[in-house]
Amino acid sequence: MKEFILYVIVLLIVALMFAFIYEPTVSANFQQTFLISVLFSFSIGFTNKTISNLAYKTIKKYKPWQRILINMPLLFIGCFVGILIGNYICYLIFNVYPLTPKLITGLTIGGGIFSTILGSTFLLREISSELKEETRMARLQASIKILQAQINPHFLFNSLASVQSLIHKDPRKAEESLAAISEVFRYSMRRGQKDFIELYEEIEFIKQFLYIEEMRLGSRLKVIWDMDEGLMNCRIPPFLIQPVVENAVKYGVEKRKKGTVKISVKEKNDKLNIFVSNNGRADVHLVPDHSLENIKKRIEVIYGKKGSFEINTNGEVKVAISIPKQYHKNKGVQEL
Amino acid sequence: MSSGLDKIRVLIVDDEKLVRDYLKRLIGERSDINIVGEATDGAEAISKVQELVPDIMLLDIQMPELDGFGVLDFLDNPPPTIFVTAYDEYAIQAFEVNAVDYILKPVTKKRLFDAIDKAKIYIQRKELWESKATSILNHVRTQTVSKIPLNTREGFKLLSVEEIFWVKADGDYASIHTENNDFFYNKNIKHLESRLPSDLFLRVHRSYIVNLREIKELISNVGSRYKLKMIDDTEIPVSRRKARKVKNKLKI
Repeated sequence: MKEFILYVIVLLIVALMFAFIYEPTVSANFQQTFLISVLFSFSIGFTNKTISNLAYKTIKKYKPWQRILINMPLLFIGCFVGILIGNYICYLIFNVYPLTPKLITGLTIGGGIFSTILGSTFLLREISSELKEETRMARLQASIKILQAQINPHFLFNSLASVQSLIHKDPRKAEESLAAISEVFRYSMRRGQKDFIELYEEIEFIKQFLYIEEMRLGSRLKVIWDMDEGLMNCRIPPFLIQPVVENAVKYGVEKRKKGTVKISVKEKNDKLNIFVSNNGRADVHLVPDHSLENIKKRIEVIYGKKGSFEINTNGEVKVAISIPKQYHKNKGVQEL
Repeated sequence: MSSGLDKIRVLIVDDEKLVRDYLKRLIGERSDINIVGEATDGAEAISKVQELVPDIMLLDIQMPELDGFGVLDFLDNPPPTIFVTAYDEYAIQAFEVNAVDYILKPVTKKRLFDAIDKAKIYIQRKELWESKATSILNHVRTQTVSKIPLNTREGFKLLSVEEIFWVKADGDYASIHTENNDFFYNKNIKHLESRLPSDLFLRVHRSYIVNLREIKELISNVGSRYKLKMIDDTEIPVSRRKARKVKNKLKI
C-alpha cells in the first residue's frame, strides 16, 4: 500500500510539471490542462506498471543488471501505449484528440526516457529488497544447519558403545570419556547459539571430540597439531573447524584402516589460515559431505569475499579455510 | 567341529576393539556359545568365515573398505548373521523390511541374547536364512563400493575400483581388467555394474563396462558405430543405444 501511494504521488507531481509545459490543442484553462496531464500521467504510469508486473516473474531469473536492461524497452513501449490510451480517453471526454501525431512522438521519447529512469528506480528498489531477503534466508538456513549438525547420532551412539565397554575394563577411562562426551554436547548446545567464539574454545571442543574418537579408534587414528598459540583469542564462528576434523576422521581414518589427521592454524597477511588434512588418498568415495558444504556457505555469508574455503584433493585431502584475523574488541566485521 | 560339544560357534566382526571386547565379555556368560574368532574389517571377516565356517556371525555394518553388506554379498554361504549397527537408517530399514534381527549400539545383554536365540533357529534351516540374506542385499543393492572383493589364485583380495580399466561379461561371470592383471568375478556383469560408482564407470555395451578416466579416444566407425580405445589400447565396442550417453559423459 505504501508503494502504491508513493507511486500515485510521483505521478501527480509529473502531471503537475507536465501541465506547465503542455499547450493543449483545444483551448482550455489551467484546471482542464492539469486534468488532461493527470490523465496522461496515470495512463502512462499504470500501463508501465502493468507491463513491468507482467514481465517481473519472467525476467526474475536473470541477473539484476540484465533485468534492468530488459525492463527499459518495455518501459518505452508502455509509455507509448499509455499515451495512446490517454489520448483516446480524452477523445471520449472532450470529443477531440489532445495530442497530434507529432506530439505523440515527442511525448513518447520524452516520457519514455522519464519512465525508464523512474521505472528502473522502482525495479532497483525491488531487487535490493529481494537480495536482502535472500541474505536473510541464507543466514537463517545456516543457523538451522548448525543446530542440526550438533546432533550427530552416529557419533553419540558409537561413543556410548565404547564407554559401555570401558566401564568394566577401565573404569577411570570410562569416567573421563563420559565427561568428554558431555563436554562435546555441552559445547554444541551453548556455542551453537553464538555468532562468534574465541579460537581456543573451538580447539578445546575439537580436543574433547578427538579424545573420544581416539578412545574408539585406538591406534588407527593419529593426530598432529600445528598451532600458533598467539592466535588463540582470535574470534571465529562456532563449528568452523570441528566438522572439518570430524569429516577427516570419518573419511580419512574410519573408512580406511588407519590414518593421520593434521590440524594447523597459522597467520598470514592478517588472515587466519586453517588447514585440516588427512593422508587418505582422494578416491571417489572420499567426496566431502554436506557438513563441509555448509561451512563454505557460512563463510560466504559472514565474510563475503574476505573469506575462503577450499578442498584440495591432490595427493592428500586438504581443507583450507581462510578468514580475516579479528578479535572480539575490534568491530572488524562489516554488518550485512 | 567335534560333535561331542554342541556349542554354537560364533564369529565377531567389528572394527572397534572396545565393542568386540564388550561383545566377547557378554557372550562369555553363555555356556552354549563358543567364540571361534574375531575380525576387524570386512576382508578379514571373509577369510575368517571361509577358514572357520562359524555357525553364527555378529556383523558390524560400518567398517573400513568393505562394509557388512559387502561381506554378506561376497560370501557364497553366509552363516546366519546378527547385524550390529550404531545408527544407520538405511540399513535398519532393510532389516525391518526383511524381518531380520539386528541389534543397536550400545548393546544390551538381553537384546544380544535374544538375537542369538533367534539366529540359532536358522542354523537348522539355513535355506530360510539365505533367502533373507538375498532379499536384504536386494534392498541395499543401490549402494556402490570403493573396493571389490575378489578370489584370486593368491587368495582373497580387495581391488580398488579406480584400478579397474574395463570389465567384460562372461556368461554368469565377468572378467575385470586392470593395468597388470585380469581378475575373475564370480557374479554377472549386472551385479558388478550396480556396485561400481556411476560417476566413474559406464556400461557402454551389453557385455562391457569401462572406467571413464581410462578412455584414450572415441573412434567413430562407418554407420554411426563407435568404439572406445582404452588406455591399454584395447578396443571396446559401444552399443548404438549407449553412443549418446558415452558422448555426454566424455563431454563431446
